[in-house]
Amino acid sequence: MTTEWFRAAMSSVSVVLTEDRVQQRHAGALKLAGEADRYMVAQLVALGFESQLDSSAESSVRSLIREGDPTFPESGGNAEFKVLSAEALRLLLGGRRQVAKVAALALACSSLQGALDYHRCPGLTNLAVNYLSDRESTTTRIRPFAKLDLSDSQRLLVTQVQAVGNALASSEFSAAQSTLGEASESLETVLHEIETWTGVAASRFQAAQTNFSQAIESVIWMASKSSRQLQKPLREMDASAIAVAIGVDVFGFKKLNLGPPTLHDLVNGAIGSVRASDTLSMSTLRVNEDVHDLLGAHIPTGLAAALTPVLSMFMPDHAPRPVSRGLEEMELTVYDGALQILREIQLTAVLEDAEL
Amino acid sequence: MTELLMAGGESLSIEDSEAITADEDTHVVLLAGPHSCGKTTLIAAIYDMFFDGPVNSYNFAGSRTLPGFERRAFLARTVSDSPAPGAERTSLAEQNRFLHLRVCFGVSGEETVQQAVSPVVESGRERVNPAIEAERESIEEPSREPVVSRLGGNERFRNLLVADWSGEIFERLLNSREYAQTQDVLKACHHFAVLLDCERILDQSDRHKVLAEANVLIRSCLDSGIMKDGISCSVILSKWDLLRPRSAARRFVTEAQSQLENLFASRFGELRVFRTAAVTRSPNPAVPEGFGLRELLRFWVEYDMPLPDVGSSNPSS
Repeated sequence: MTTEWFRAAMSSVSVVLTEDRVQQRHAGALKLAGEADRYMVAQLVALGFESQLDSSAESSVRSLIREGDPTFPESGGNAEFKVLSAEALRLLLGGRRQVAKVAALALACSSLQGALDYHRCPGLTNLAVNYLSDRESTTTRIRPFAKLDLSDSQRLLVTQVQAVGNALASSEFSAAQSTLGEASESLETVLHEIETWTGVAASRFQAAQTNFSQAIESVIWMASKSSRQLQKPLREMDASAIAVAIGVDVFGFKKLNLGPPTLHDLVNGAIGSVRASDTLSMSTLRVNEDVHDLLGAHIPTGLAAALTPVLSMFMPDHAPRPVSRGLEEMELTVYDGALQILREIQLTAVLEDAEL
Repeated sequence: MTELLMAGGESLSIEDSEAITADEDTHVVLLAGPHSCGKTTLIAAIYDMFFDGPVNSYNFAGSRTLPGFERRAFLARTVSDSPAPGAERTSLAEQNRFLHLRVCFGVSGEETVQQAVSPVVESGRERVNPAIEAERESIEEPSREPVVSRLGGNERFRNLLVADWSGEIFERLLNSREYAQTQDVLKACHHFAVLLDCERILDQSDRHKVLAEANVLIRSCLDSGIMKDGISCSVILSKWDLLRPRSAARRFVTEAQSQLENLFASRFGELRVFRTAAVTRSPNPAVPEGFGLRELLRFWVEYDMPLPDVGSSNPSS
């Protein structure tokens, strides 16, 4: 189903738009949203923030689009290409694919948490930020274990074993043999049910244990009011370094699993709401030695550099990137800065194949 | 006179233009006004401005209709010394056809020339704008590394596709609202531009008719229901050099301007009034030749139709 936005956007890149064309192009966007891998998704995001695609990425994306819409050109049609990219990202954020998280992270990072728009797609970056917030508020919720109920299977198995016994007792060997086969299948079913249940239980137990240990770590970290990485009290650091230290530390014990306590709770707990509202500027961030020490292990490379406005400023080449344009003039609160740094580190990790 | 309108030459058809709009940011401009109001002269003058180099920091970056521009500009130039400047009339055969202008902005001149290596620049079959020719000659071999696609990067190019309705179409639109619905170019435009001829406004007996015609035209087009949402409207007061300050005609224009704004501003994404003098009949320091055209061009190049918010965008089918 197409939206008003998609029609308006298609209309803006057409002279006279036909219904056939809308449907064909939308089929291309659907295919892209359904099958793009995390690297393609990241490229689609970068495209909306004035980064250039490399030719091989463009070729892969075009091939996917053309599987859904054979009329899409093999070259050219670049304005339409961008519309389809935005639509594919929108579709991804509304779907259930795991790579939606990559789309959301990349959009949130590149847009400075929704402050900037994706090319000609107002609202897309806010969708991404909301997607992450929604996911983070539910990510540590563990669904209850369903009780393992084998009564029907057990009853059937007992009946079948008894039938085998009766047949053997009356020397009806062929009947016994056939019933034994059925009993064997029932036994297999019971064992399979036990195995499935155990697997689910184990993974949920593991998730619960992870959440529990992360929660404990969070509380300890919050109470320590210190940077783990630098082994230094946060009160001795300036606003820039605090933001970075929080982002780096929280990633250290929560990775991509950012559930309750929320980052907001953690920041307020560690430094108080007053300091969380202190502002930091990018120019001070760049020259702070603590910041350089903290970010040493998280400097992005390759595609991640095009999507991480803050971290990419610390790359050795110092080359200005489109995604960092205007950042120098911005002032962020410590909380905003910590969130931005955390998301950028998370994104860099997923583009280096971290588990989603 | 029978004319051959060839794609890549005189003008582009809607089909030819689709490839441009699908590829790069493109704004379709529709110029409407009665015959002799100065539509063609206006287009020719905008093209001519690039003779002196960048306009509003826009560099010329190609055109698929250079011969079409050249013919209009030539005619405008050859008659400019005559007492009544003007250009060739737009014929009915040219309806739903476009002149194409591609500009590049926000980059250095050197970069512009590199980027102007564009498939849209046709080889010159006629004399062409020397500024354009100079750019062509200085084009160097494009770098072979690294391999990046044309996709993305700073959005530095903007195409304008300009259609001018002939006086005949204008007359038909005044007499039949339904006629507007048959006009594909009306569906396509991002900028709807209406010209009000100040020469006619000078004439006390004609000036109210000028305003009434503009009213009917805009209303007919809006009521046709086929225009895109959020397009802009440029009300262009052509031949502005003819109006003297503090004259009755000037006062009429001020009233006409506010009337049009009151009636129609809310129905467009943006409505702006431009006072222009593409060519002038006598030197006038207050209204030099090309007066108002830079502002008009900037509006056409930089105004983007707003798109609905994708987060609150409702399903439409």
